Amino acid sequence: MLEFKNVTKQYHSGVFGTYITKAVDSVSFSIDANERIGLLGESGCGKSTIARLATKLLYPSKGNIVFNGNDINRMSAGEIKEYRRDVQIVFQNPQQIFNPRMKLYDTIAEPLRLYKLTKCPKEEKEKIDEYMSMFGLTDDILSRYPKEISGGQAQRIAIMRIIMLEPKLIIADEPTTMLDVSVQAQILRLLQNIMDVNKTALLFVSHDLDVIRAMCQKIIVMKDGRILEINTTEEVFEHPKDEYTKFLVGKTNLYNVQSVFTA
Amino acid sequence: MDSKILIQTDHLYVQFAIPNGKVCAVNDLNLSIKEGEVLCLVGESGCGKSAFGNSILRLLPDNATLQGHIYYYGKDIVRMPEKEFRLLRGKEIACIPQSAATSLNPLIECGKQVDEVYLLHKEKNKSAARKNTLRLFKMLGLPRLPELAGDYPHELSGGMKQRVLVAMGTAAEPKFIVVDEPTKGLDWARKHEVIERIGYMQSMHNSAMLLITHDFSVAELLSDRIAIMYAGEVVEHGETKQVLQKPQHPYTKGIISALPQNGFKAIEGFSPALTEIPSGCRFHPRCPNATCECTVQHPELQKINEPNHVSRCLYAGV
Amino acid sequence: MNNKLDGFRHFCRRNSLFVIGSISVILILFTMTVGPSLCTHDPNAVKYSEKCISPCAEYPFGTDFSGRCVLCRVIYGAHISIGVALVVVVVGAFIGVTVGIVAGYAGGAVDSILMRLVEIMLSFPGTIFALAVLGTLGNGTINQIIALTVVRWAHYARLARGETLTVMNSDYIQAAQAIGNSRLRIIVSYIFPNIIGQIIVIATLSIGPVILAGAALSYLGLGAQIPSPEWGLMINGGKEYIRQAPWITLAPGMAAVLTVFAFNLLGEGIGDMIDPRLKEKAEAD
Repeated sequence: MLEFKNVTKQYHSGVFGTYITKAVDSVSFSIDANERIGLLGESGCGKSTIARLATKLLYPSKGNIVFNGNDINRMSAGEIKEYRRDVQIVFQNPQQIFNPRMKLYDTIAEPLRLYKLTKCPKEEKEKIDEYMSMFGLTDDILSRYPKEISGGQAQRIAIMRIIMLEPKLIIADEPTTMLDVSVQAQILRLLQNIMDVNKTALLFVSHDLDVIRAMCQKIIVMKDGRILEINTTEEVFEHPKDEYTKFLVGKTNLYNVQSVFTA
Repeated sequence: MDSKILIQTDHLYVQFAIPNGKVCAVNDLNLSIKEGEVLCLVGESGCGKSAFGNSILRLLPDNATLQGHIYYYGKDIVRMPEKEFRLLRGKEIACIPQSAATSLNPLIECGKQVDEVYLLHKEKNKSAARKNTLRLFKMLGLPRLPELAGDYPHELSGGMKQRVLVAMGTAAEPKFIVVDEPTKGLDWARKHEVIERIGYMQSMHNSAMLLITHDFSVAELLSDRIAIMYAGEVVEHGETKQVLQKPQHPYTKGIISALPQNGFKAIEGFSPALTEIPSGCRFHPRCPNATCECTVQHPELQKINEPNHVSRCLYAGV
Repeated sequence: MNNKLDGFRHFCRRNSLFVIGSISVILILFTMTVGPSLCTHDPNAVKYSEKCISPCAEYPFGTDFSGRCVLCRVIYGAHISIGVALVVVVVGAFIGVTVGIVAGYAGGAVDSILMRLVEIMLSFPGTIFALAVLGTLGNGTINQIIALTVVRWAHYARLARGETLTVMNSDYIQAAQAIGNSRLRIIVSYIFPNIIGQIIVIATLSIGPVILAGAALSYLGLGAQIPSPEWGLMINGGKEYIRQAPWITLAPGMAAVLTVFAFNLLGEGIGDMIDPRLKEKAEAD
């Protein structure tokens, strides 16, 4: 469905732009419909850049990103709007992604209004209420401002806003690193349910091996802008090929809160 | 363990004044830490764990009021004059603050910031201080020595900055260190490194430590005892192994099974804001085993069969 | 009810600057609008028999060299002086904010061209630039407004661009793009509401200096013309009598000082009130 073909993103720095830093270096991979892929790497390895390239927040320096046969950077205005609807991103800092001057009701209604999914304010309200209860959120949140809610609530709303658009691919850029363990579990559960019900594809960007292992069928391991290994989750954990992957996988076994509740 | 008690809190309450009233961030806290012991305070954001850390360091903001006592070797530091406390802070009680990105002075070379700690508490001349700093940096596994000591904070990565902060906190070889979320915002590999180094420094000087975190892997690796906090109270307290392997309080059970490696079974609902604390047991709205009695009766910490393991649940040990 | 009162008290205590500032500004605006109808004297009625009378019950601020009531003239003059400043600040801020947002949002060549233009405007000393503009356009209140606006807008443009760049770096702009907002919508409902607070603060703070600049131009004879009771013009007229009748210059001078002070208080107050950093600090604790 979405394919990266030899994509490079480089930045120029220095007075004459003579220094070139490659954030992403000739990366190729593809995501099929209903596939869950994890993008694993430490900070600064270019994994967030990939998430932003795929959502057209950044433009590649070289290479093509193709969505269902269309290069996303050569689309017409109408196609872009369609693409923006099909591919959605969940960000890392849930409390910073909403307009601080907009009430949450308007923030939530925004996608509905942008894509004209509801005909009248009454229908809009009904739809929002329906989703709110589906996501376990209470009505009193709607009249608040973004800074008046907790991180877990904010991330739920962020995901809810995206689900309203029924995207074909969700890109999750470290969606739980800023959250507490118990909230992380809620958000991951939520994402899993959505994947199961809506048959959406997922690109899960994270540095947390345990989270990726639990969420994804396939793992892409990245370091310094390059892809080191693409394999199924089991293979990566049981028989890591690359030295770096071995190092990462080795670390997980070092601390392992083994509890009697695993069963 | 016959070592002396270093820090003891006695019915500690920390309250913050807010526009329409007061919120109680720390409620009736009774904890003690012995010399050389590591106590880990685990809880979600907003449960009052940082407020406790800051109250030991007397770094609470102006709108906070403190009731109860914190004893440091039997002396009450809550009522100690500022002058006297300043002699303790930094030298005997130190802290490693939360956000590595903003806790270092961006305009001073990082080596110099550690030198200053030595100059304040131990050394007289600068070159001796620098020697000590470099030795400490080496122990912390920082690369590119001695050039790195001349770098400004923005030239270092997040993990390196955190290690410089660890150096600043441990330079004076304090008896007690408050470590507030040392691994927040660090990724897997760096987190591991920082934990290793903190553990190493702790065992080197045999300092006692209060480790504040929400990450169980950090707690498991470093701590002797764990106290779990929920909505301003300690709900479970015991030796690390016991708490992690035989958790008693439903909240502890909940967060342990919420870990990804345990299949992230989520606890329903959200932690209550400190302004709207539920009646009875504070956890009852989210507790899977809550009964009628839980909604009215506020449980005390109850002993469980193992030594020193307590849980704030009406049905603890049943 | 009691609760509301408590809330109000709390608000006043926390934003004392804002409350004092807005009360003084309201008082000034009230005097400016209602005052003229309460004046018993015609501000332009010349009566040489009563010239240079020192302040008394009949003429609280005395009379000037032509026997006109100084108090009445100051009150009438407020219309011109404050009115000019308000128009200049509103129009200037509108132009400046538009240019600033466009430059900050578009970036690249557009940004460079617009900002070079702004820098050129800012590199002239303000009053001298205004003098030059007035010299070309000729005297008069309308031209004074145009001259001052030409000088002022660049300040707001630079500020608006800086604020826009800050907002553009926030995560919520990226989120807005990702969900499919158009550029116009991002500018109107994301960037504008988030920078307007800062703009209002700076605009309010700049009302004072603009009043003074307007007075200065009139003092030099380039703004309002005789016999208009514009403050700067009054000071100019009274300067020859400053030994015998200091009240002729003192009254409009004090009026200008007090007005500037009131608007500055209000500006500072708004700034304290909406500064998100201060507020966040208070809430984080």
